[in-house]
Amino acid sequence: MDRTVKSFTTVGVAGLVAAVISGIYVVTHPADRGSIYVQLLLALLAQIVLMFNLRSAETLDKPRRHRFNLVSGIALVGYTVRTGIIALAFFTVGIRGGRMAFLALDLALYAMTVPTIIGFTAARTASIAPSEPAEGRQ
Amino acid sequence: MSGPNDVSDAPTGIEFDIISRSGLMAVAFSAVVLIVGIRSRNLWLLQVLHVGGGATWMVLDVFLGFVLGPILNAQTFTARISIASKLLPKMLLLMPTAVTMTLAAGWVLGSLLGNTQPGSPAYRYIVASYFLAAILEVTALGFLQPANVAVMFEIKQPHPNPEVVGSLMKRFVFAARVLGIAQIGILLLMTRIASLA
Repeated sequence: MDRTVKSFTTVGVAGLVAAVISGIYVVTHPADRGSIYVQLLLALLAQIVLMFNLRSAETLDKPRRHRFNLVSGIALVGYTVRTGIIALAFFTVGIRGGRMAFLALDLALYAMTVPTIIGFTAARTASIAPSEPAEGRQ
Repeated sequence: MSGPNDVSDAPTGIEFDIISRSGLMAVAFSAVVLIVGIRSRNLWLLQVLHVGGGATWMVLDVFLGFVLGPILNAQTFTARISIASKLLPKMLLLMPTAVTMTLAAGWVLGSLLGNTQPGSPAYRYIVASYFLAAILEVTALGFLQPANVAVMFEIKQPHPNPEVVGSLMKRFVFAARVLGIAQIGILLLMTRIASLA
């Protein structure tokens, strides 16, 4: 089980990489130059990974799922505020239209992917009830 | 003789707040100042936020990865969880705040100074910094921060598992080392950009 949860974290990191590269691609390519297909592909990849991870969270046993929900929920609030401030920075310097839409999509994916990574890592250590002694661990 | 793998000192969980109220207030204050800086487009305030946030981020990574990390890993389990219970809740709030200040203020500052435009002499350094910042972000958010959170949950348990804490702390320190090295690259790029002005 521990190994399975670890693989969810690894998959989540792949999604984070896709979202971050997609964001860099958008800011380094002016609206009239960059390929929309590259942006779409990277955002789609990050989206697929996020969906996979959200489905994977449903397969966790009860204690792990409880911790996943607790940690990823708190992290989601923090990362939503954080990405909101970053989006404000992009908006303030005049990024609008399609570029802003892609950046907003990348930021949203980022804000949702990071909490799942943190949630899965915290869930890995929640395999037994708190009252159970340490010797009982795998 | 006790050492890092010595668990004979009867490990027991430690009571502490993972997220402190005073820490959250400081984060909220920083966020407000950052929003004011972004909306006002005040170059001095943006410089303060970008340079101050960046310096905090870099110093923390280098210090954790190369100074405190090795010391922490050499401690007994009890000493390690005692230090971790004080250090990690602060890191949990401090790091994302410093990173957000650095990136958001830096983007606005770079745009106002024209450095993010392809024709600018600083542009290639700016693009290189995006990639280093991406390495920093992925390492910090994919490895360091999850390990930080997981250690805190583990040491709060009545009987924390020394192996789990040891493994997560090693991961935490390793990630901080990678970040420290990438931070030196960022320092070189940023000082190069500053010298072009």
